[in-house]
Amino acid sequence: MENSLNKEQIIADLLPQKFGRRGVIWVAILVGFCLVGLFAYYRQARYGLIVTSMRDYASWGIYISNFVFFVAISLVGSLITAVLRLTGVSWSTPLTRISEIIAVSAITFAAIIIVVDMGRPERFINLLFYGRLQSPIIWDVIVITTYFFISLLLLYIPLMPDLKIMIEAKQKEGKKVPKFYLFLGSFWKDTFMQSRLSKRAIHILCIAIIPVAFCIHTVTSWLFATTYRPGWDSTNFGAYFISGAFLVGAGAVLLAMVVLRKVYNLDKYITNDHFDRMGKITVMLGMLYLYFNVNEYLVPAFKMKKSEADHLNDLFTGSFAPVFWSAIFLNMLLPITILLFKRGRRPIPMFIAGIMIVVGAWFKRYLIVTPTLLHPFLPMHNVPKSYLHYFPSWEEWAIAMGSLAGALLVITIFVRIFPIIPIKETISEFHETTHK
Amino acid sequence: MKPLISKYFGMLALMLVLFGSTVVFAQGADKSNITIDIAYYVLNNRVPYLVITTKTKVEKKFIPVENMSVKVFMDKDSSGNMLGSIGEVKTNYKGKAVVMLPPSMKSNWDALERHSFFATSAETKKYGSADGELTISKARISIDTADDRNIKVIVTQLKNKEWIPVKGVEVKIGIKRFDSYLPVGDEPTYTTDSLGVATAEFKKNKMPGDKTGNIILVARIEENDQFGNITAEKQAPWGANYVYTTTYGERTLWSTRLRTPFWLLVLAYSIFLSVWGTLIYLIVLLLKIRKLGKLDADQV
Repeated sequence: MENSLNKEQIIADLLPQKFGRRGVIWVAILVGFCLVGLFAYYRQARYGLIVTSMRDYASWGIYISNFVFFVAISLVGSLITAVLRLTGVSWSTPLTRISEIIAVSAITFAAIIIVVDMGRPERFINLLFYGRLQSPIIWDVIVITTYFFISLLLLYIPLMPDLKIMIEAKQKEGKKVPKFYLFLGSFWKDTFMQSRLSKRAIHILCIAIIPVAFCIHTVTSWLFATTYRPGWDSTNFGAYFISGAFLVGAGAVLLAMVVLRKVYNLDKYITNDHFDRMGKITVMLGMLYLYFNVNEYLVPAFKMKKSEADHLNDLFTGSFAPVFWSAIFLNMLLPITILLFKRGRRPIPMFIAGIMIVVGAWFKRYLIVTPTLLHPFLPMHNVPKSYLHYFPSWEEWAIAMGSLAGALLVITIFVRIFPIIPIKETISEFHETTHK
Repeated sequence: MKPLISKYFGMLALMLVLFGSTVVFAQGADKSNITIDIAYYVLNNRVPYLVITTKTKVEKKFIPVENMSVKVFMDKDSSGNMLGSIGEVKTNYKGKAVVMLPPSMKSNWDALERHSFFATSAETKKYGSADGELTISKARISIDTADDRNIKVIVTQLKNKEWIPVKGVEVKIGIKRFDSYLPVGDEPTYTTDSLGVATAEFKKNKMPGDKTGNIILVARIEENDQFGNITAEKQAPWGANYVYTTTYGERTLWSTRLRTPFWLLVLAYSIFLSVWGTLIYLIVLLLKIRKLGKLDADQV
């Protein structure tokens, strides 16, 4: 952060700004995707899951891939906000709120997409009344709900001082303060006791969110690992999923950093130093995920058990090979290579690396879910041809794209109404830096 | 004008007749042939029953014909009239129907050593009419287990009102399992000697039986041209004791929701309560912060 900044300048820079023309077009595109997704879901609700390409074998398709992707990306909240905060890393302050809003938005759509995957969504309520505690699906429902509330609190509590700043700024300008802001933040007086309680709450949340975040993705991995199938029968799945989740979360933050810095002229707050440090973290996470991938694929490939051979061969050299190798290169090898060098840890290369990581991660989830289902232990005999392959129908694509657009829309709306970089904390850090 | 009208009328009438006859011919030609098979079964020398099968040939393959009504009769008189009606049955989706000899036919059944069965189906919209016939001689099969681990199967036939042994009949001897029969020895079948006896050595030691070690031995004559399908069963205490144990009703990971293991309940609720307890504490903190904001700044 530049030392030439003063309090007024920081507030002026970081208060939410109205959308320009580009912002309106962006929102319109997202709303368009959401509407098409809603229409596709209407068709699915009207005609049933037959409108999808999911059949008896590939009973989990891109909805579940999307679910795993959303859960993964939501883990960024715990990484940036909690892990870095607890370890005393101060440079991450401008990235904490971006991470939390990505987490809240992603976990919301993870919950939505799992209901979309149900042929009879009204039966979701049965999970609450008749769910078995022995089932990992119930654990997933509980842990997703818990993570959602923790993320929401971790988003809201540090936002309270900024809401006061926003209310004061509006009053200073003589503008009417929306009731929404008043309800959320008018009680914040910035007293010693309030600050103390707020700090305690944030500290507790940062501690609580880490095990819950680990649980959420471990339990998601257990939905697969507790099912005896080629490719899922692994004791490594929890760690494999968590490392992948941290990587895709970091990739999403890279993208958000570049876009928000460019759109809102935040060069003074999201500096090249932030990119450099975030790039180094991403390289570390990429290597960690690569390590788990080597374990997941190389070890079974070395043994090539007959029951697993079809699945592995199909991934390495068969019909899934183009997607598999693209995912490995896009999600891990290329971003690691780019970000390993100092010149790669600049906004434009990092934006490219971020896109690679996120897109590669989405396809990686698809590869975890679908090829396994198409390679059961018992061969598929005497089944209709449509059962042997899976390619999503237009309704599935539309719903999946609609949900991704929905998540981006939530982030966009948040950026419009709340400061995306914590104002109060930035001012405090500025004071600390200048006093030193 | 009048001859012209009558000429056209005549042509029209001729066309109608020709067209109509073509349609009638086509309907007859389109009908598929149907085959009726009759199989005769007796279990443990009790009341016999018949299995009627209807099938048709499509692209060189037999496929079952379902919902076919078939009338079943027993024996004809010298002038070819059916003597006794066993009943009318309808085939299921596998093209099969089962019919038992009714008690009213006991005297007819007892009167002869050989009987013929006839099955007929009437013409339907899709299929032509069909007939099936089967003649069997009355036979009995019994199992003797008096000699330990040595099974004697005796096949006899009714001749001149006496049950006399039959030589050269192929008999399968096995142990009844869940949905099939396990051969008792190395041979797939055993042949009866001049005394009508087929002998098999019981080699399946330690075969799980019921809780007292009983197994069920089965002797079968299958698809025999003369005797049909005859089966006899007999219990023998040659198996190993097997006590069925089940976890049904216990608290396991795979049982119903009300039978969750205690360790899982304790673990899950402890985690749930500690995490949500923390969240509730945080909500309380939040309410406290809210309340503090409403107090006068000097009081804080």
